[in-house]
Amino acid sequence: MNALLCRGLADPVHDAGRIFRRLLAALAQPGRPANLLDAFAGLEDAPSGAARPLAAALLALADFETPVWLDHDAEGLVRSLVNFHCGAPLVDDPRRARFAVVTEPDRMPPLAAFDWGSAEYPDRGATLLISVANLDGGAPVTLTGPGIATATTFAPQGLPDHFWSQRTMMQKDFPCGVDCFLFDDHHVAGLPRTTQAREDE
Amino acid sequence: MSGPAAGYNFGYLDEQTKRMIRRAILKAVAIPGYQVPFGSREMPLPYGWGTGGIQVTASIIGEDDVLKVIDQGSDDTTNAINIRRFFQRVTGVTTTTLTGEATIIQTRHRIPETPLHEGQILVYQVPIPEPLRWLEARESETRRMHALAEYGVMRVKLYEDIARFGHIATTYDYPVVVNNRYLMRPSPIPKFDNPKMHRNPALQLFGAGREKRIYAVPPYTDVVSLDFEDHPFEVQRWDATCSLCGSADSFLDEVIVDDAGGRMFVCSDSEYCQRQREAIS
Repeated sequence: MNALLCRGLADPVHDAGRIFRRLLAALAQPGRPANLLDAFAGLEDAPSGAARPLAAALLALADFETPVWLDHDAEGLVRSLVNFHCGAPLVDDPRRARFAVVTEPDRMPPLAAFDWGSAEYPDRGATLLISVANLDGGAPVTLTGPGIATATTFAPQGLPDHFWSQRTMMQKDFPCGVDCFLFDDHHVAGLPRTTQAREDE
Repeated sequence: MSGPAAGYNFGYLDEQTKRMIRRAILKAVAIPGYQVPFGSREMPLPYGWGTGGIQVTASIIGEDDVLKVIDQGSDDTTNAINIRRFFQRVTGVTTTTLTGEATIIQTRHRIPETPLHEGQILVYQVPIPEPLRWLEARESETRRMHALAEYGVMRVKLYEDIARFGHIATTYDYPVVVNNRYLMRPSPIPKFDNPKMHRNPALQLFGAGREKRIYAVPPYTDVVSLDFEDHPFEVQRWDATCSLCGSADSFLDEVIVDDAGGRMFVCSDSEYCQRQREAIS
């Protein structure tokens, strides 16, 4: 039964507020993971397909105004969360999603499959919530851009190599693009479209 | 501090409104200087009194935050006192006048003299968010101009200033380019404050309630005031120092003290002035 319905946030008002502030800090300081687990209570029996912090972020941000797309493996598991707790419409076409949940980054669609917004309305670009094995210990990339004082090293595990090259391609279309949050079991890291990543030798 | 007033949600706004504004803030941070449209709500005070800044603050504030509110640099003017009291009533958070201790600073038309640090959030109240609005009235056109980064018309306006007055006569709300891409109105802060926006460690959020726009400057982001090689950007300078604290490097207000032409100059940032005076005595 757990797979059908899980508990939501223990304190929907203050938990959602704290979760948002961690997400905001993560996006304002790209590549610097923020702890998300100690920002909320609840979601103990959250669907195992996605990290608990990812489920929490979805609860804090998504509602009836934001179509959500789930990758195949998250389907069924997160569906109850999205449907019941967020009341967000599920879409099959990634291009129609405001929020896209990726639990298997290896098999994720190319970034070009998502909505990048338009030059007039770049804010309509989608936000990707990506579950990775760990936000540390992977192949390091050097990040620069707004929110980063000089440069920072970021080494998430479990992202496909083409993720970074696709992002570089995407940045030619700035201000259009997608923004990413990466989650492991404890933390969230932000990767706005402005962050330049250079793969270390 | 007493708890939030009964009958209101924490921070006055309902949760769906907060989520909508929070999503707008995240996109604003992701696209520095771009104005994100949002569904501005009716607030219990009129447009023009800081409804945009209040909605941004109400959407980000939490129980552990320490709030400072300033109006033209002062903690003690009507707008600042009322907004501070409003948030005390609807959130019960601690408030302060000390710039260094605040986690959120809501401001009308000044940036505090005390340098901000990482983790702080500065929320600006913005009357007109569109820098090109007085040059091009049509929203469809200004939106296209931003899409194409076509900002020549603003350069012409500054050039016309030089042709007419011999210098760029804009002294407040001086246009800036954020992250080498978007032309942005910094809200009516004096151009004295413009250099403080450049690579500031704090997160800067801007809310325009009537115009329904939110925009942002993330920490450590380039904010460059428009100028020309032969007419470089300059900030105001005074021959006087502050009459109360003697500061020579803060923004000074001219105050008329009698009806015989007597005047004095005092710091616009009341908290900074206060601390300077305490340091002297």
